Amino acid sequence: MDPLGLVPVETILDAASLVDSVVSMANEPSWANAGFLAWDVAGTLIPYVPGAWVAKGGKYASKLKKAEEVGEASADSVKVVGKSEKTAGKGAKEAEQEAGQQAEKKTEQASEGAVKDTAETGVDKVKNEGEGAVQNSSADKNNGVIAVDPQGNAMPLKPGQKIEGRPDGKMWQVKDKDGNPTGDRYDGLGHPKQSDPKAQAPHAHRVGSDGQPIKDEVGNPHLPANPPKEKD
Amino acid sequence: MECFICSKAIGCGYLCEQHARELKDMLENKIGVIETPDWRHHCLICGEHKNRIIIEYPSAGYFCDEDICEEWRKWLEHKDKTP
Repeated sequence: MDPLGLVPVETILDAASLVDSVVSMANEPSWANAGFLAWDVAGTLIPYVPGAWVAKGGKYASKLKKAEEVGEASADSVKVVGKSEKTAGKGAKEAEQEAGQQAEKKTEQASEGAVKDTAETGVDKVKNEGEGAVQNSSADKNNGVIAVDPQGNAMPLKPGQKIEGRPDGKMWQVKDKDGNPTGDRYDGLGHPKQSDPKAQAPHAHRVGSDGQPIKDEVGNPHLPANPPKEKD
Repeated sequence: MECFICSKAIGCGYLCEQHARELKDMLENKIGVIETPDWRHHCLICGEHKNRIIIEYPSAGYFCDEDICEEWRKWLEHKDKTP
C-alpha cells in the first residue's frame, strides 16, 4: 500500500483525533476530555508522539455494543453497573453508552480475577424503593456509580445520591444526600395532559452543573429515553 | 390506562380510586406538600408546577392539586352513576 511511508497516516489520525477532542470538550467538558485534548495537541505538535486516538479507538468501538448488553441484562429494578466518571450534561442515552463502557471495565476486572465487591466500588445498595444511597469509600470519594433501570436507561449517581420511584421502574428520580431532588428524573409514562408530544411520550430530565434542566437542540427539557417495557 | 402510582389498570383517568382518595387526603391534611415547588417537582400527570400545590407520594413522585382533585372527582361521579 505505502511501502515508502509517504502517506502521513499518523498525522492524519492525530489531526482527526484533535478535532474529535475539541468537539467532545465543547459538548461535554470533563477532565477526561480535557486530558484527551491536551494529549492530542501534544501528539499533533511533537513528531513521533501519537495522539489520543490510540486510546480512543477501542473506547468508541465497544461503547455502543456494550451499552446494548447492559440494557438487555437489566432485571426488574434499577441496577448499578459500575463506577462513573463525571457525566453531568449527558442525556440518558449517552449515559447508557457510558454505562456500557463502565460495564466493560467491570468485565475486564473480572477476567483479571479482580472482581470488586460492593464495598470496594463504593456502592452499598441502590434499590428502586430508594433505600440505598451511593456510599463514599476511601478509595472512591469522587466517583459515583451508574444505575440502569429495566428499560436500559442509565443514570450517573454521585456519592450520597439515591434513586426513588416506582418499584417497576416506570418512574423514578435522583435525590441528593439531603433527600432533595436533583432534577434528574425518568418519566416513563410521560405527562399525558401536556400538548407537547415530547412531554407526552416517555422522557427523561437531566440537570446541568448550573442546576438548570438540560435541553435538547430546540430547547425542550423533555429528553428522549427508552419507554417502559411491557410485561410479557 | 393505568394508575400512575400502582399501575393498576383503570378505565379512565390516571389514578385508581384508592390512590386518588389517598392523595386527596394528603392534600387536605397537608401531608407531603412541597413548600416551594420548582421545575424539579413538576406533576407526573400534567407536567406543571407553577401555581399548583404539589404533593410528593414517596413511591411514585409528584402530583399537583388540580390533578388530584380532578381524579377524585371522576371517581365520585363514577360512584354516582353506579346503580
